[in-house]
Amino acid sequence: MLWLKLLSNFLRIMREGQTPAQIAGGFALGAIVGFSPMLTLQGVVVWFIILILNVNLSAAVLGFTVCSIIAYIFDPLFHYIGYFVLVEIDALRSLWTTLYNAPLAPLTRFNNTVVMGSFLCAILLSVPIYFGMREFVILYRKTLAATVDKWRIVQIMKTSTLYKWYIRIRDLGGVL
Amino acid sequence: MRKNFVYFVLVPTVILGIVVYLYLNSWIESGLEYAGEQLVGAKVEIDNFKLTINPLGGEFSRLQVTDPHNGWKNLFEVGKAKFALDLGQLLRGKYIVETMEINELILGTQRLSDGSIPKKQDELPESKFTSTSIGATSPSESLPSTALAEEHRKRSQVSFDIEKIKRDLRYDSLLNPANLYTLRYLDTLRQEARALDSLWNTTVAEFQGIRKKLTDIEVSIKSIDVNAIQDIQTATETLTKIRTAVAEVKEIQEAVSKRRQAVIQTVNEFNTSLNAIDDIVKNDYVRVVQAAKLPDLSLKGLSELFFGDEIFTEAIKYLKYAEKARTILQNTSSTPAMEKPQRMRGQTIHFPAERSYPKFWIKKIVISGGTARHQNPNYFYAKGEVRNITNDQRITGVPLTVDLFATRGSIVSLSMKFLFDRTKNLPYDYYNVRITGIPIATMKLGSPNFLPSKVSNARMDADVTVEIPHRGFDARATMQINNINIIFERAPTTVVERIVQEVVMPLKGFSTLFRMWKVDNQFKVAFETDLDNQLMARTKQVIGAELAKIQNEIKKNIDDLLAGKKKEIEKLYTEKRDMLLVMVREYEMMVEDKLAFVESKKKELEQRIESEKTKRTEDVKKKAGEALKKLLK
Repeated sequence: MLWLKLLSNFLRIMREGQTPAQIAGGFALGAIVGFSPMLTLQGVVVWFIILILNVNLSAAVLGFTVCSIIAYIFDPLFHYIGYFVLVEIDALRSLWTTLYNAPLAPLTRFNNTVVMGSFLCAILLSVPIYFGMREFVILYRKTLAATVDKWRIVQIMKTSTLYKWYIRIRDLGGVL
Repeated sequence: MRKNFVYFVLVPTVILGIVVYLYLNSWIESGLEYAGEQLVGAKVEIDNFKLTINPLGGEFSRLQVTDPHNGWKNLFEVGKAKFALDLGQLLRGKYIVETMEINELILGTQRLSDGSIPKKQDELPESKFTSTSIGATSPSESLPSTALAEEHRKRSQVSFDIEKIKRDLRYDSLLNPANLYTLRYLDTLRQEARALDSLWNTTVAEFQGIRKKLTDIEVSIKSIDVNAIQDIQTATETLTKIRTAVAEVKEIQEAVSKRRQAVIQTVNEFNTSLNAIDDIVKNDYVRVVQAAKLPDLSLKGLSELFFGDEIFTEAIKYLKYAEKARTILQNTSSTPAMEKPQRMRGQTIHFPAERSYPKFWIKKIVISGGTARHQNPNYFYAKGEVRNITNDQRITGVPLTVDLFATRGSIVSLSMKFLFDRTKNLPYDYYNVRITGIPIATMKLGSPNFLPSKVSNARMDADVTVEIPHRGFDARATMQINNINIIFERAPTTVVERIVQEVVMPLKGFSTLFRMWKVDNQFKVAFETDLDNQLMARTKQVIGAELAKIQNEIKKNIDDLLAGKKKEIEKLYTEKRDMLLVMVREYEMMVEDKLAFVESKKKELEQRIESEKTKRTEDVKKKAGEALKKLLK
């Protein structure tokens, strides 16, 4: 069901009226929050950015969902990277000590290995995610949309109650 | 306006905020209870926790901490308590409490429900501490409670029943070769004695070569006829030849000397190994006597058997608290070893800095005992201070101290002073507990196997001090029990039980000293009572002779078993040693003879050359004189 919903969301976003940059931006920002395993100050800040900027919210939610699943799978790798950055690099220790004893900085939970590892990966990956997603949306709208619409699974989804319910809600107040 | 934002984000956020506000207190309460339960291992209950905004902090009306060893009793409970957090430090993610006020700290109250938490299957059972043998684990790993439990188990198995001891003696298992280290040692020595064979063979081979060389040199030198040498050149060549022979013989002499040293060294080493047998036999004897569970009267085991059971059990229980404190109170580190945390949890690394605040610090807890008129005379009401509870004492620079004074019904008093110092690299823990006038409704004496009995309506004073510096350990406890009335649960069945009964029956009080300390990573335990001398003298009188007889019998059996093997090795060794030394001496003499012979030949030739030189000089002088005379004529 989750996968079906994800696919449905994805196809919907692809067709919506916003620009590819807005969709890719929403997806990339959602991905940054999705990689983080717990509530952190930077996570809240990114959500605010999503709300303030004119990016696609659905794409952000989708990015968050997809990357949360990826984060769960790659958790041991994030732990390893975070441990390496926090403990093994001596040159950074004074920076971490300063942050640890500074106001607000500890609320970012930077000193948690998984938070640090996943945040670094998210920041690094957000750039290729943004550009990759933008290119993909353009490509989709140009060539793939017609083909995908003919897929049997898409036909089934369109006739489902969930989809009809979504269309009704969407039409209440315009496009998000 | 983004209507969907209002419907799907703003409104749910507001609702969530309200829910959080309504339930935050109970969530924090549950979180604190859970953390406490993880720490204590039994139920922790907090009533009416309230988060306060100004000042930012919290308060609760009651806290109960269940005794992990008795689910129907609280370790302690406290009444109303409140604390305030430092807001500035909270923004830095640090929980700093200047002063926490606690009212009515009561020790050992009864619970209305069972507060024990069932142990999960994968958790280590408590019996881990009692089933581990001291000998089986590395001494550095053994815990005081483990060592004490094991020692108590061993000591409590000792019997003073001579007939039973005789019945239980099984020489075949006691003298099992697997249990006697001496036998294994003798086998090793036998191997070493056989190694003398190879030394013998090497020496013989080497000496055979030496003999041949010496013979060749001798033949060669003997063939020189000094008188037959006619000219200086031949004489010089012969002298060189003899000098070379001298050098060769001296080399051989050196080689023989080295061989002699090697032989003597091997012999001495073996001699040392042989002499060590006596000590190893003694150790085996001690082990066999221990395995035979013979009572050692010099250790005053009798009083321990009668008075020690309950005291040992209590000591083990409280030592586990000390071990737990040692484990829990650890400083943080910015370079901890990598852990394997649960998924999506990660590992939190702390970065402490000097002269800054640690992550968690309650500077002072002030405890009041409550008003006297409201006190229940059945419980201890404590007052005092606890200072510097923190997650990192190296940052605060001050140790955790507990200083409490408690009273019960104005008669019994209890003082507790604890210190947990982690400010330096090596941890140091100190405990002192003094209790006076505590009534003992019943206290078990003896054991099911030895004069089971109990004391009723007694009073006890106790002073317990435990010092745990780093890996060291020193615990002392003195107890004075007065006003005792001993009730024996059955009639004595052995002569020793009768002796003990006769000694303790008229008693109205006794004192005990219990000490446990660590030397070279091994725990030592001592238990004394003021009745030791009496009990020991009377017991020795009755069973001392019998015990000595059994001990002598065990010793004789061990000696008989080992004597033959020891003699065999000694014989083997002596034979080889004598043969080697004789042979070495023989060759030394041979070399000396040959050297003397060659030296004499050398001397003879040198004398011959010298006389020839003198003769020739005289001839030349004579001829020159005659020629001069002819000229002058």
